[in-house]
Amino acid sequence: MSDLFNGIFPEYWAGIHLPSLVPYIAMVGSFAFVLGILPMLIWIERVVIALMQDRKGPNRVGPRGLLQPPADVLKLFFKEDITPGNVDKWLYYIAPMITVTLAFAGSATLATAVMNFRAENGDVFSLPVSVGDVNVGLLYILGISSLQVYGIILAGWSSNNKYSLLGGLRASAQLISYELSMGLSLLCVVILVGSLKVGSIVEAQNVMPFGIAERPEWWWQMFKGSFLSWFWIGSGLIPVIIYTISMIAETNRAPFDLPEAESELVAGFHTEYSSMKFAMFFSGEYVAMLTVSGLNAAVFWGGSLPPLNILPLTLVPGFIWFIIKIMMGIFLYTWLRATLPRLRYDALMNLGWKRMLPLGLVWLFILAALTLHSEGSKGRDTVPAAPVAEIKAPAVRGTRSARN
Amino acid sequence: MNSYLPILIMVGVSLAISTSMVVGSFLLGPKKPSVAKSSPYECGMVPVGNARERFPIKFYLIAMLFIIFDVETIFLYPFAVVYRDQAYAMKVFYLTEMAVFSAILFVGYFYILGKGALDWDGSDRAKSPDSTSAEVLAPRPALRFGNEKSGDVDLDLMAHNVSVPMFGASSQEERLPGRVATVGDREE
Repeated sequence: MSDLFNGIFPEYWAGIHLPSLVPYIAMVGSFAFVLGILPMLIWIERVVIALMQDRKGPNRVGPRGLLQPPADVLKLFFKEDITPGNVDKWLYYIAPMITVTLAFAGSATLATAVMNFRAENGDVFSLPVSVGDVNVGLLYILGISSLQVYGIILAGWSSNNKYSLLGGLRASAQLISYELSMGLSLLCVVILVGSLKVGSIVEAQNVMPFGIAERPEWWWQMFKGSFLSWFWIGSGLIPVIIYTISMIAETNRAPFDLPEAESELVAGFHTEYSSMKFAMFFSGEYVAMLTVSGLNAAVFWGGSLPPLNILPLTLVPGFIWFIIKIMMGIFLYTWLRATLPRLRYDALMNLGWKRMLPLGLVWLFILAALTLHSEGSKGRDTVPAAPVAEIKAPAVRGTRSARN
Repeated sequence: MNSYLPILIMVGVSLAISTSMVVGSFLLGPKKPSVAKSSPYECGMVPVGNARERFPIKFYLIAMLFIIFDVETIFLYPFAVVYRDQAYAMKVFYLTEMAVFSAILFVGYFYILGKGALDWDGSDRAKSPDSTSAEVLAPRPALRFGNEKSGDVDLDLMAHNVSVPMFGASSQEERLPGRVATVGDREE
């Protein structure tokens, strides 16, 4: 019982090997979270923007307008599904499917929490809770997010509409430009950790800050894996700034929402989409926002680690911290949307190509030069790429074991 | 290979969700097609010309430059993954190699920068947006909408519910015979 209170689960329960079930638990959990939070996200965004603009926001359907998004979804399902003449039918139908499929599949390699198990021989080992914590995790997420440009460009091309074509072209140029700086900012973290596994990157942030040696006293342990040792400081602030800007540009949100600039392109690439197919682009964008915010949280903001390693905070399960960090990313999106005007297209291209690309590349080499003398493998960053059940991290110590 | 199976299942479930969304909306919605609904949307106007117009070559240029720098980024990934666990001498070697590689690429980068390939708008005004310069404040020729010959808007016709096209450039070109009143006339 004390094991369960400390968040340690038995390896076998009723003859079932629990660690091998973790990916499926993560899958069900992430689908439930994404599908459940999706209507709420729209509500949150509308309410937050309304507060920032000193008005009321949705307040008619349900308490405080909470039932507005589900009502909207129902309405969209029963709207007429118009297929305009002269569209390229095959591509026109497949474009929203690409968007939604990739948006949902993109978060598969995110490590959302850490689960501790007690093996038969009494050893405690921990597993990152992830659909597949594969050793190309970051590459998978980057690849999926760059495939998303196909959904947008195909929608723009197949719609047989001038606004759609322009929106699709703008979107593809914008996505590929900011993909470079996004990849470079993540590389800065990879060079510090030496692994592309998201679980290892989160685990690498569970150390004493500023390279201090391990200390057993609780006032030192308090800072182990705290916000001071997360990579937003550890990588020197530049990568997290570059990543945050490019993650907003990658999801086509304000102030980078030129592909769907309402005042000039109507709705951009989804002008000709109606009914649920429009909602698919809409929800695809929001799920992509969740995914890139989740990557931001995992790579730069400590993932499932609590902000301070002290008792009441460590009792909160890791996935709660992860969700809190994702929601802070979503709040940042909303805040920027309510604050900043849209960029001009040449300013957008200048920022991507002339500022962030050289800065990211130069910073990568600065980090590489700074870590020339640091010794390499210390156990925590050499978790082998083995089948799930064989992964064995060092036993959990101190108050850390209370973390789920 | 075992850890990739759940990812494949997740992609499959995502595909099922997106397919069910398309099919569901196709089955549930009403079907009342009309000519106006199936024409391309151009803000209520009758569509002009073909939608598959020519578009600026800049987009191709950006795509070509992207391929160069994306390959570079991909090449940096293996370097970044193995770099940390190397001995000091190997680290120096790796870093020098990658620095030489990047320096060669930066030569190309400064070349395209100097050529102006990354300037989206080549005009000087776009480069230095000085809102008070003489060029910006200079008087400009009046905008032409194509309906200058048709005179002022006839508000009487609108008031008496006469059915004439009221919006767009051609709305006042064909006037009803006999009624040539303008706003200026009534003010006298």
